[in-house]
Amino acid sequence: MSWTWFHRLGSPPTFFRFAERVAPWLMALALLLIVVGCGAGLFLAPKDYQQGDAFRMIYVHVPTAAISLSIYAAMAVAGAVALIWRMKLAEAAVVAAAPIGASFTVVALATGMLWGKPMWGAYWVWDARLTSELVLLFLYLGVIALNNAFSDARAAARACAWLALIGVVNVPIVKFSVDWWNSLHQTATIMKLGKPSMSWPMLWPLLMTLVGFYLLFGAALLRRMQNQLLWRERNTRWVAEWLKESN
Amino acid sequence: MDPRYATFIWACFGIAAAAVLWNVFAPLIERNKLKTRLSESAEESTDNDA
Repeated sequence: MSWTWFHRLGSPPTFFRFAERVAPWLMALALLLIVVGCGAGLFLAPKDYQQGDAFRMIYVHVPTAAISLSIYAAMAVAGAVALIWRMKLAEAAVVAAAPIGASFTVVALATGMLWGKPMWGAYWVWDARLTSELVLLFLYLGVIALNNAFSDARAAARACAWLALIGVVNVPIVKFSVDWWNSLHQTATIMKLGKPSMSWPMLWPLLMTLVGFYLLFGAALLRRMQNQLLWRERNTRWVAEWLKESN
Repeated sequence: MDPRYATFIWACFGIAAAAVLWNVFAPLIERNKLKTRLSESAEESTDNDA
């Protein structure tokens, strides 16, 4: 199998054109899945026998919480690539992914609080899962702040890559906190070995929103990486040509 | 929908909708600003060359 297409994608102009074609389709599919999944979760899925309608918050809480972890793990991988091979696209990916990850972490925390109040009687408890997720938000904010603290884009990206790599130790802590410590938060329902402990009429809208949020991340990442590349490569011929074409 | 939970549920979906819209539009707004900035700096450099 030839991998030349993959290596070509490492070139900023080729990647830019690829993202220009793919991002709108990814975004449209993401929005479709999220809208249909949320609609089905709100109006079609049966009530939970213990939590009643309150369980419907799962359709936004679980996908955003899962993706908040995945994005940080992806940033760490991109950070390693950026530090080892000095790849421009990997540097752009680390910086571009941080605001997206931060936004989903805020949603996961806020929706968790809204779910906690009627179920636990409190918006917030200093539980291992909640506290480690809050630490994850601070890590994202740290990457964003670090990126803004440097005037040189490449030095900023390398600093961000280091923070992404060091902070990734928090990802398994968030994931397994409910198994390692006594927690108010329930253990894994879907992301576990064996069969998910949800019935199909409840599960399918959740799988739709989960895939939808991942696609949304993909589309937003491509768009933000494009912006990063435009700024970093602003003195190159391809950016000048793109400017002429797009005006 | 159970009225005891309705506010929590709708607030939850509202926050998620705000985040989705922000992720859709923020990169596009940033790109438009970037485009304007790059076009202006390109015009300035052309003027300076002339």
